[in-house]
Amino acid sequence: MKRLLTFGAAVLLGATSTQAETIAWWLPNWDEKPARAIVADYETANPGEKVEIVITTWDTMAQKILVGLQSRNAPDVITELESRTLRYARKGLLADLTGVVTELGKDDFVPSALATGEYEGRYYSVPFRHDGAGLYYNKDLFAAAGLDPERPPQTWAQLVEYCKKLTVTKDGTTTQYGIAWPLGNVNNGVERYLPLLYDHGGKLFNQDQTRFTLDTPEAIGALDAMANLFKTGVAPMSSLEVDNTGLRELFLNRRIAMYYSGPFDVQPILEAGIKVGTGVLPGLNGMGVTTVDGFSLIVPAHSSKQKAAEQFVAFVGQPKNQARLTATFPPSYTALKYEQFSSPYLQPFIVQLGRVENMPNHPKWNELERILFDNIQAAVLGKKTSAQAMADANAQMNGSL
Amino acid sequence: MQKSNARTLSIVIAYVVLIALLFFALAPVALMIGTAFKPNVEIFQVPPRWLPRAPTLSNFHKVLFNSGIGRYALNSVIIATLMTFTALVLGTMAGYGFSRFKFRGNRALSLFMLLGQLIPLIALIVPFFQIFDAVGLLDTKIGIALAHLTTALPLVTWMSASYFSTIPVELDEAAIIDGCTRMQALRKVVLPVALPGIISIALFAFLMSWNEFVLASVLTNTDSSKTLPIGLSEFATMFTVDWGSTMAAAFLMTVPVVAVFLLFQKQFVSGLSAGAVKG
Amino acid sequence: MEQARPKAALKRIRLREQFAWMPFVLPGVTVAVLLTVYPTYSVVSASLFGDTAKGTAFVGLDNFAALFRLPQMELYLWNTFLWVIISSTGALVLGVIGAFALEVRGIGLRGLLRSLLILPWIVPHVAAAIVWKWFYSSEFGMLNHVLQSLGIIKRPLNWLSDPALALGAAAVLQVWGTFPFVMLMVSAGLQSIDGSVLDAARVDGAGWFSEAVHIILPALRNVMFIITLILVVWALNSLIAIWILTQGGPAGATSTMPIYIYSAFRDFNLSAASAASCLLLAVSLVFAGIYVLRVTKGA
Repeated sequence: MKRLLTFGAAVLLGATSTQAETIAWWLPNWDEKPARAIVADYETANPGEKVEIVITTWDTMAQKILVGLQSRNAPDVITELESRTLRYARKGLLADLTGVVTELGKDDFVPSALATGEYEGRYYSVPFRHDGAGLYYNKDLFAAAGLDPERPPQTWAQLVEYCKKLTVTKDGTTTQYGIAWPLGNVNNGVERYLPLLYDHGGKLFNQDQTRFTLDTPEAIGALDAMANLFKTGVAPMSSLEVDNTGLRELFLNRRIAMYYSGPFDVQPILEAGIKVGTGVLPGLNGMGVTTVDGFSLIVPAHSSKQKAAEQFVAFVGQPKNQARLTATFPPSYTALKYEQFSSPYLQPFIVQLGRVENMPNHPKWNELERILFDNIQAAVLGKKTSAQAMADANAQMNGSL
Repeated sequence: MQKSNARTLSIVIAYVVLIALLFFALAPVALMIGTAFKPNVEIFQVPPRWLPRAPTLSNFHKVLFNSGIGRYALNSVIIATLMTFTALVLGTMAGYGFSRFKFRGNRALSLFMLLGQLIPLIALIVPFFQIFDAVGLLDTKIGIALAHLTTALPLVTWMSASYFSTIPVELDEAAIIDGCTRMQALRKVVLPVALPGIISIALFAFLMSWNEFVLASVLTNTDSSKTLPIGLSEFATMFTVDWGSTMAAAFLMTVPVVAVFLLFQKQFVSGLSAGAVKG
Repeated sequence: MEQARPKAALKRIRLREQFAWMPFVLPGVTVAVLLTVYPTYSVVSASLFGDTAKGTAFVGLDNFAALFRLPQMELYLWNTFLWVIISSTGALVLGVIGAFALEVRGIGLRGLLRSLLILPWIVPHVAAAIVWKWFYSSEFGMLNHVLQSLGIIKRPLNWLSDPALALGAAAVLQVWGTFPFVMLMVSAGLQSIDGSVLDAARVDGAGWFSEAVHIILPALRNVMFIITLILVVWALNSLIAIWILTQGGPAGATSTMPIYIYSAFRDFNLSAASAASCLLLAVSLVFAGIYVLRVTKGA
């Protein structure tokens, strides 16, 4: 009898525990700490709900999410790069999160962030991190070159002039360059060319993304601007060997005086003890353009726990939780005013968010950007003129569509 | 007299060749080990240095105590050992069969067997994911081991077949006349003679699993199946890479394999040349 | 009737020998087939299907045609060809030389030397590629530093950013990582050569060169074939070395087929990725076919 009772109790307990829903959340390793704290708060606020965290890494997340979504076997909530989400949404692989976005307040989101998940008037992601590039410069090297360490270049013409002054040559070898670019990495390299393109008034495609428009004077002018820095010897050829991380190492070792990067570089540079300044990107007429990217939460369309997933995403999407989770900035206007984003180093990045373009989300972008990348490199190496390079890129990219 | 001169010369040449090869092989490894002991600020110093100025153990400390590497190492050992053992048993038997018997379909079967190794790994990601999803092997050690077996088994078979073909058939025949079955002849006579080859093949299969990244990156999710190469990628985030810890972990991944191989050196010099079966 | 009995016995023995291969070969083959059938089918069929106006449908060889229409394809194929030839030949030459040097009588510490020389093969590929990238760096690279301090070069060379050097530099990494495999396999093969044959040759006054060419290499013929096959397949499918060093640059100088397949895969353009994979598979199969023919002919 007693045994029967315990058995009955166990059955009952079992039944209640299955009522509580456990959802799984894939997130990258650098977000793990704040994510666990947010989950703990969520579980306290919603007794019975459980969130199981699975850690991905930068090197594995793209293919894991891709294969998982396509094979209808992915967790209920995923942290994914903003510029990749629209490609999934178009294929109908993501759940519609318009309700969540509306509940959080559409107007509180930076528009370019929301746009990364918007397809046919519906929202398929809730962004929590959103940032663009800014200019980093070494104040000591500025002072040594007779430049005002508190005034970074404001226009592209000034940037070119500063670069010349900041390039130091000893016995025929250059020991310090004005600037360098991450042209050893396809994504990073193209991400630095596109802002120049937009600043020059160029466009990547026509309206419906069926034709590239890279053989225009604007596109050629943008490439010329970059290639000329190499031609005049103020940017090192080793640019073609580095990605964003490698570029920062060149800066930390005083091989270059300036470079473009996102707000996440502030911390490591300060830790290395460099006197660093930040500024907005110099453009043809005042502030230039930056491309923006970031991270969003998405819910797979096949998830059987949509309700629970949406409830959790709505929790993480609150301004205060965005601010905890983001490694740079939150896309919420409310959260951007928080104390933690008030550091003077970060201000130019926030100002720069006023002139942005999103990253392309063409379905064949990986294949296409590789062609653009090859031709940018060819122009920088002097193997092609900028006009040739852009004509080739345009023809080859259109040929691959 | 002349003969011993020639002997000395050949030894000198051999040493020169070996020392040159050692430099080539070990210079990058030395840089790797040096980096593992360097504090972060020293890694990209100009001019570069082999050895750290201020050696530190903090990278190793971080790898050993602040990462999941212990768990991943256990997974990797289980997966690689399980896979290697299976591949060796199935592969040496099949290899023996292919090298000792003439039968119809020999060529077709051989070619077919190689398929698993010939397809680019990236193309295998999706099909493997689908199968393992269907049978519930995603994120399991067995799943990864099976995926690795697919690429290793064909080559283990073919490499053992090629070693067996260098061993005179007379050896098996003598054993069979002495009353052995074919299987006993393989186990008691052929395998011992081919031992150096088998060790090399085992190492080959083991490393194929131990260092494999592409398949494991998609087929594993949690600590219950993540392997060491996945662990290695966890020292990087989107915008920072902990180079020192990455190199320390890579060093720690390398040492046990070399140590085990070093232990097997006695067995490496057996076989016919050692005179084991001669006469 | 009297004659039937021995005939039947003979038949039975023949029958037994005829099927004797089965218990050896079938378990391995069955497992291999079970594991490869679906992936192979999946890759081949994905290469024959594609997105059409009516959704995913059978498109025959259209994906292959599209592949060859790609403006960059010629460059990809040519780079792949060069890459395979340079890296496989390099690994074969260094590996064979290393194995022979290790087997010279009178060499001490052989086991230790062998264990040290195989290190490049054991080091995790990703970490090795990162170290080589530093090694080659024109800013803080050890290679330029050493070559300059030895007076061999005057200015730092842009190993990875000069289109004329990059493919070769990347191939050196592939050679570095695979030559120990060749060395070990040949080394193991040398162990199984009957020492008395070598002794007899030496008594006949054969020099080491003719010894190598006339006795050792023929005896290791099958081993050499399989090693070559493996090297070619590895090189054909290798992604990590190039991806980490140059990502296919500069200006496409190191863009090989796996680089293309990886880009297509990341677009989840499985039709293109599978068609390109099948192309590589076909090339590998030609090599494998030659290998199987040669080996079975000799048996």
